[in-house]
Amino acid sequence: MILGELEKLVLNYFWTVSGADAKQVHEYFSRQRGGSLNTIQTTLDRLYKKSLLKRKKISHAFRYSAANSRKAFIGQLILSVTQDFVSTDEDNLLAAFVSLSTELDDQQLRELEATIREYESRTLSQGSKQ
Amino acid sequence: MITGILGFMLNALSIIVMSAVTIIALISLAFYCRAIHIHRLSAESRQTGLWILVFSPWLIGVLSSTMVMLLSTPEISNFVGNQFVHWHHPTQFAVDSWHGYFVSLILGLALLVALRACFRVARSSSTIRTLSSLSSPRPDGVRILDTNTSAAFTAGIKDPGCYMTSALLDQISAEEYSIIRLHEMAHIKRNDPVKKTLFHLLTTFFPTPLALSFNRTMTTAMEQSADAAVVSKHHDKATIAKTLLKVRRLAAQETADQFRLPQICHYGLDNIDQRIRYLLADKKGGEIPILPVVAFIGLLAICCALGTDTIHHAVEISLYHS
Repeated sequence: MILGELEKLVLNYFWTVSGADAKQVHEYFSRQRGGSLNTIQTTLDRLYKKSLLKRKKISHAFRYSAANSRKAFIGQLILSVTQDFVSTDEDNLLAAFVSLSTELDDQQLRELEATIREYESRTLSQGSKQ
Repeated sequence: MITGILGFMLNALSIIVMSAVTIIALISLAFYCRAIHIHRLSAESRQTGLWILVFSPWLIGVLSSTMVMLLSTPEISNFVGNQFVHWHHPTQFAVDSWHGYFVSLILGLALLVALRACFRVARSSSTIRTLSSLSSPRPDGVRILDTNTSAAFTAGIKDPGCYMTSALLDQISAEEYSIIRLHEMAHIKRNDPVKKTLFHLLTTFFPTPLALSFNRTMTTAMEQSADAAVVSKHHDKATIAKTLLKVRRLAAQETADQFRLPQICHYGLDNIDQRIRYLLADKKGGEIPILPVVAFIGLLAICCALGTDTIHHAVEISLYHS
């Protein structure tokens, strides 16, 4: 997912408020970094089209709010990176500590645990002999 | 008709491309016939072997092209008395000939592959930049992501970073955290994200099933090498294996219960089994015999150089008769 700097800032803003219209967002950001109302409206529209904001028409203006919480959004980003990782078999920017695959079933995981225990007991017995 | 230096370069390029395609076909055939047993090698040797496999078509192409073009120049040909290798028109390249079409087709495909790879890199980089901006860096270099997903990974080409989620952090001990951090830092130190990108790019010229297999083998070998880096600092293999299994269990549970994405189950690269068994094994596999491999590459380059003229004549005769 490609997000511009202003889009990230606006998204961060919506995680701190329950909802706002374009004028309120513009008022908040004009104090911090300037910019026109039109730019803010375009940014809100882009975020809405990316399904990161939801909106509801109240009177003549749209009232926007975050589509997902910050935690859920980060989860989505991690998933999108790891989804690339699995759909092409490898995502080359990412080297995961463990893959998110669920291919190994409980039985196989138990077998692996048994292998580790076996290794531990073998190491212990070798240590005691020495 | 293109003549002079540019014509010479294009002829050289067409030999490189012909040789590379031939070698890719030979490697693919060797793998399908199970004549290459790369899995018997140690993790480091497997990586070296895979790099040789994906680089060799282009290396052999350059070597054979150099041989053919050098021996086709009158000065060297007269001096050496060349009778076996020659290219009739080293400085003349006809664009509307089979050479021209062949080189254009392969270069077009290569450009397409490169553009696709660049697009994917740009898209992933943007996601990683966003993740980075949402993370909280710790003094030890790990970037914490506040989310309910358990994950730890290394990502980024220009500025690779080690990411760990708060959900994972809440469920692991200080020792487990240290193991995961050492593993991810080993990826950063070894430049694995960059290497994987380059490797992936080179494998795109191979048939898809083979390319997938190469990438999977390379990832497993990289993970095993990162695990070995942890062993060199932590020493207790059983604890490292237990940590791997624990993180694997946490991730699997969330993937199944929370995200419900079946495609991950089907396509996911699952190398935990191989990693744990390799980690605990006393014998790590053989080393790659570098000298015989180098000699074999040289032999293949000579064969390609000798075969170029034959293929050239065979194609031209078949085109002339048809």
